[in-house]
Amino acid sequence: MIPRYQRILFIVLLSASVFMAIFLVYMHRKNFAEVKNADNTPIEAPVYSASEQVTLDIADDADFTLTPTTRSIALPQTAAVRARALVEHLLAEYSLPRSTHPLDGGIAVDDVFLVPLPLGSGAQNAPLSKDAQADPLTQANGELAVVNLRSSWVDGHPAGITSETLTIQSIVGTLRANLPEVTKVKFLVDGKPRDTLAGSVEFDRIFDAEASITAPVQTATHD
Amino acid sequence: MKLLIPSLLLAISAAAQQPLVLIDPARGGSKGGAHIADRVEEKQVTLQVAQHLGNLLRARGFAVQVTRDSDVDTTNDQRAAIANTTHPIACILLYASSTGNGVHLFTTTLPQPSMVDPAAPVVWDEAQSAYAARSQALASGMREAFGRTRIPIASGTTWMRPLDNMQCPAVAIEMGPQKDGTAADDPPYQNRVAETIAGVLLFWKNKVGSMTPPAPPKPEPTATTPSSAPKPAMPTQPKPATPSPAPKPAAPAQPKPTTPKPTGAAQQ
Repeated sequence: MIPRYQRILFIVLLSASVFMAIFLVYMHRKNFAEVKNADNTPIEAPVYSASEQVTLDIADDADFTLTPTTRSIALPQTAAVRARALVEHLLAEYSLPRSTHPLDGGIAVDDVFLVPLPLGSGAQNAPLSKDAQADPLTQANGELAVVNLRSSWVDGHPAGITSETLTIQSIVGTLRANLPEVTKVKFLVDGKPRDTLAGSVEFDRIFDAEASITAPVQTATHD
Repeated sequence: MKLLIPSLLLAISAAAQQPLVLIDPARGGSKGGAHIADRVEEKQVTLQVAQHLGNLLRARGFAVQVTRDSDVDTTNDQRAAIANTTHPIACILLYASSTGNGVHLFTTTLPQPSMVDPAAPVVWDEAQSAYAARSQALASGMREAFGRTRIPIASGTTWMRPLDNMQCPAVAIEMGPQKDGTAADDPPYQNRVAETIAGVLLFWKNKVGSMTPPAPPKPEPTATTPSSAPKPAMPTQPKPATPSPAPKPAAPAQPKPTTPKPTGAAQQ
């Protein structure tokens, strides 16, 4: 004689099995219908950036020089993203143990924006005010690169005229060497201007990319 | 008594004719600057070198003005204001660093204007411009003098306050560690640097006498200066740390009216 509780248990398990089978069939049909109705348009093939030769102005604290150095790296095609990648590659070089201009590692660059110059040129036939005319950016040509750095990286920058000057010249020189349309560079830290980079050198001014390049002492090539 | 008064007048006259050198030890107070060694900050090193250099210069017949002689906060505008009101023949800005190699000399990136209009107001952030050529000449003399020592030397230009605000031949001198590991807090190293600078200034004193000083710019009162106009670089007195009810001829804390074009030539 089968006990009553075993019969009840059997019926419950059988009911659960039947319910699960029905649910499985239902879900299978539903998912199959979604796949069947899916957009079968081929997706865009991924774009692979080929490595290219770029010039990085590598700083040397010992003799206060910049050395244009060729590197082979893959860069995106969009100009602003390209500029950001360049600066990131440059600053990553300085976090290596063999660096001649040692800086902290980590993510340094938040964004790089490229602004066409002269400012105010978009306003058709609108005369500039006297204040605007005094602004050199309304008279300049080319592009202004606005480099927005992270405070976490800037706060760790070593203090000293040599180190700070070379960091600025290195970034400005590298942008100019690879993006010839960049004529001016402005730095922000977390979106705001900062007086000095690490207590010595002015960081809140607009740097002239065409005039700030230091004389190279040698040319090195490393892949 | 009859002899005492002329001799006293003679002594005062001689003191008044002493060439003045301004020494600006960087940092101070809450601004410690770079860490030079364990428990040694840049502000201590610069003050030590400034005191030693001051003693050497006084012994060589100079009058010396320091922007700070103790561990106190001094703003860049206060430092520049002292330089612009005392009219020294040279301004020596002292810095120290834990990076680099030897002594690095810096002058302004501002270009020397071809003509200086004495009637034109001087822009605060470009005050050094009229002295750019003489600053480079002073730096050149120092480069030669340091070249004769065993201290490695490099020079270049930079964008820096209060250097760009000073109306005097100005050179910023940064002492870094040497290849043998000697840091800037090493007293013999400091002595050699101070003695070299003092020696250069002796020659500079004779050289500057033969130079025609640029005409002093006319201070522009704030009341007549439009808000967007350049700031005059000649405050009549150092700007106090706390706001003063007295009208100031210059407002160095205002935004820069123009962006100077850096000449940017670092030299080896």
